[in-house]
Amino acid sequence: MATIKPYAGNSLVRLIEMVNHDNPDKVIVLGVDFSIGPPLVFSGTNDRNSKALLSPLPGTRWKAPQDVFYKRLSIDVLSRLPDGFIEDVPAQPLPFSIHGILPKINAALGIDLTKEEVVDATFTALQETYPLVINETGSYAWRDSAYRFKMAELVDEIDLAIAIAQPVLNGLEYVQP
Amino acid sequence: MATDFTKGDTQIIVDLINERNPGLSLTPALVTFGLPTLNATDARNTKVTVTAVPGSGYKNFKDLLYNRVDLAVIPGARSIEFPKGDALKIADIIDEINARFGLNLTSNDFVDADLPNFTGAPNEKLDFQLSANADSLVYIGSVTLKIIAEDLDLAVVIANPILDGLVYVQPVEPAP
Repeated sequence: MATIKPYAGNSLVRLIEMVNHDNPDKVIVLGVDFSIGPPLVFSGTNDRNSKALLSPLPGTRWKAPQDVFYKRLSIDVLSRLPDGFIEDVPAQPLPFSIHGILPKINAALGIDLTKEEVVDATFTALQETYPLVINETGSYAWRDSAYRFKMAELVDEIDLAIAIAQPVLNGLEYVQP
Repeated sequence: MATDFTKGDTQIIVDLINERNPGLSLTPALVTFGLPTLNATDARNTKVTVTAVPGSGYKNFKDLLYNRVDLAVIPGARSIEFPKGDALKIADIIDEINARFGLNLTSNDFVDADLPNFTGAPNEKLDFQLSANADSLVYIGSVTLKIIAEDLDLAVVIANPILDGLVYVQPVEPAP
């Protein structure tokens, strides 16, 4: 499991934290103060490539909707992390799907992608690397992009029925002190 | 092999498996146990299925036979009396029971129940049953233990400290 995780965190939570970080005098809470629209591609201003519309909820002190503009990253940034930040995904028996092993991928890569952010795919044969493809319309933090992760080699499992050759155990016995 | 009963229940059984199968180094993280059932063969009172955890390096399962410990044999010559204090249920004094007998009984190992209530008489000792949970991996049976009342507070018991006496009554001489 990756222990240093510069890109950890739910994508939407990270975006809201960024909004509040950059506007510390007006801290807002998703679901209480406002709702948020889907992440959209944006081009035009200061290297921002994305926007999302914050709409105030009825009964709050806010009035008009407001776009926030920010920069989503390519998931390929993971390949630029120093050695040790990324680990191999634990070996999985074939076939496996990206969505099916997403928690293990997240743990190995130090990220917290949801199924909505990732294009699912099923693999029926071993490969040197496997593509993790972002679904841009479902991700508040990542652009359309891909990262190829490695998987540890599958070691033959030992049959417990064979490993425990002596199933009749010597105990338990409570010995009086 | 002397068993350390202060360990967790799965660790105790895994130790037993490893001891009987030299070269095997199972840990509780690698396997799960089913619910134990009573067994009438092989001079072992318990049967349980141990199953490999996916990704542990092991696969499939195996039925084990072993003896669970009857709670009745545990106290031996040691005191079975426990101060009740403010305890209402067995769970409230289970730490004291564990410490006295070198155990690690958890809520999965015993059937919790209300402790009996004292009547208020001095030096009261009341029996209660500590019964093994049927799903306990380590214990079966039951044992009778006692709760003992705290010494009564004399300041409370003697509610009327101003006594009616003493009066010395002159003996009356008998008439001649």
